[in-house]
Amino acid sequence: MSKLTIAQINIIGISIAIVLALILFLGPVRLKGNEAADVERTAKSTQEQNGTADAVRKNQTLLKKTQAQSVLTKQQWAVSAVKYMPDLPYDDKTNPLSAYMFKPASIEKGLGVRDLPTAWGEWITAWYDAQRNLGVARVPGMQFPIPALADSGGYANPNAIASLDHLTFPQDGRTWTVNLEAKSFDQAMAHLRRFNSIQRHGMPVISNVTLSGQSPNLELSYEMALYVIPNSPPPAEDPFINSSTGTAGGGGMPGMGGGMQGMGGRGSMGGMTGAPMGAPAGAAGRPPQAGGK
Amino acid sequence: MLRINLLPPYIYDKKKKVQVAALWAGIVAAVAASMIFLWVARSSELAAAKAELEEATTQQTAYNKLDGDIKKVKVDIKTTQDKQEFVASAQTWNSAWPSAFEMIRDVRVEDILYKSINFDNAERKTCTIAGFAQDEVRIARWWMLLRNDKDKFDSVYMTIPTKGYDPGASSAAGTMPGGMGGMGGGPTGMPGFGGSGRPGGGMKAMPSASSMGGGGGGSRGGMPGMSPMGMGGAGMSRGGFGGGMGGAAAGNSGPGEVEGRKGLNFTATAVLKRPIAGDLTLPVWPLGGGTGTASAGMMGGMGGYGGMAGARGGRGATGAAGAMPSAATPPAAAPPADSAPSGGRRGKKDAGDE
Repeated sequence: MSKLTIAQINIIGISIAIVLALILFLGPVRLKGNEAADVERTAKSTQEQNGTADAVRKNQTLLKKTQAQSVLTKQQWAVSAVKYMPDLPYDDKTNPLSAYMFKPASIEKGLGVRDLPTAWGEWITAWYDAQRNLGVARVPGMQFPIPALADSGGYANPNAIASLDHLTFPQDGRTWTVNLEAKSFDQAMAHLRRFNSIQRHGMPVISNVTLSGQSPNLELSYEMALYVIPNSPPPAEDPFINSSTGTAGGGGMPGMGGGMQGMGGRGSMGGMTGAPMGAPAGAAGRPPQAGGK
Repeated sequence: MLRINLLPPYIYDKKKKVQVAALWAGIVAAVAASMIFLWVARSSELAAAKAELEEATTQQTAYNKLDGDIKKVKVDIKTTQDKQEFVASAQTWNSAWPSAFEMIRDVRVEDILYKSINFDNAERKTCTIAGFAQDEVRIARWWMLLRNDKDKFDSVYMTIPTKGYDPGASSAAGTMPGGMGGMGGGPTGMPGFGGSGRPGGGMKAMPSASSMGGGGGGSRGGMPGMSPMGMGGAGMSRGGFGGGMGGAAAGNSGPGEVEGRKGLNFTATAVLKRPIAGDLTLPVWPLGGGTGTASAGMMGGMGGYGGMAGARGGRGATGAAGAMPSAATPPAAAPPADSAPSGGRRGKKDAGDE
């Protein structure tokens, strides 16, 4: 140092100060600053995307409002449901087999889901026949067929009830073509108006109404379907009574049934066909006809 | 007294150098300290920003959860509302049909006899009326009346025979609408139809039955002993819409007879101002399901009716002229001669009279 001049010492001091300042500023200080700015930006953006207590409060209020509206809507539907929809013999806690076979439906003669087509078919026939005195009658041969419910290839599949979140009579996507004889125009129209007063058997929908002929031999024709929206969800599948959920299992079940019934034929057929046969596990237990086939 | 420093100058220089070096050391230390201060400040800013972010994220998570709950409830509401709306629209839909028929009944005038009324199934705006009148003038008068009823109808068209002048041809042939026979729809269903349905009519009605075209029609005419409706139903489910409608639209004009009175069969096609049930579409549950199939069924329905008409139509026709009308007579319009005896008094007990 003794050899350095004062000027040199000044230059060295300035240099060290500048370099140190630059290193510290551009290094840790700047990095920290950048990180803080990034986090701040993210925080701001999060806040803008409803990350604020205010937004949460608003949503809480909205949720309460929506829940209240839901209750109201359900109450309104409950009124219509009670009026138009029947109580089907199941809810989400029901055993599907019990619902299929035994649980009484709240309609005449209903003994379970498998009896619904019969019950509805007889009821709708009776509904029409009751209008004979009102001047409207089915033409001879006019019937109301309804295919079986929970059916898998002709055999019972109680677990299919799990998908019955609605029922359409006669069948999904189909209608009955109704042909009637009416004694007068007014009676025919009164008959058409009667559909909206049907209660607890589903909502009927008519369409394609045509009228021809002369009184008292008017011919009235239309398409009609009944839509049933159950009040409660259907029960879940019972894995112990069905094999339709797995293809491998599907093959096995029929085999067992066949054995028990002594219907080897059926059992082996089920095994061969695998999945399709599996679906109607009931088929396994279905004795003679099945085995005989 | 003058003070004289006799020490050599380097002694003072050294002292000065130490002072300058110390000053610079202090400056460097101060720079370092300020940088450290800045770093600490930025660190605390970062900590604050992180805390803010954490809070915002927590709030956002809570918001999103609430949002999810709200959406779930809204879906629930929508499902319930859909059910409610289905029931409401089904009721509106159901009650719209009789109202439409009554409206058509109400526009009828004394001299016009309705034989059948039906609406197009797709838009439910076009009403096809098969009818009978004593002469063209009465039909034309009614046509004018409907045409002027602009609150109810957008347009009205009636099939009445044209008149040409051909000295070489018989007047009857001249007045017969050539189009009628052609309209006849499905050659397929024809033979089996009217011919076998009623022998007497068969002779005259053959052509007409054929003209009906509809599959359903064939069944009825062909199997008189069987349940006509049952057969008709079969035809309806997949019946030929085109055939049946074609017959109804154009094949129903020409000479006819009701209760022994001769007159003119005609077909009126009236386009309603507003479709039946307004803007509603055929209500089905679950929403969006089954419409196509249902429509198919309905189309068929038309055909079925056509058949019935053909079966009956045979009876009334007479002579050559009879053949013509039957050929042209569409399914729904056929019931003339046959149905009249059953009690329909023209102008009083026809489809639109009550």
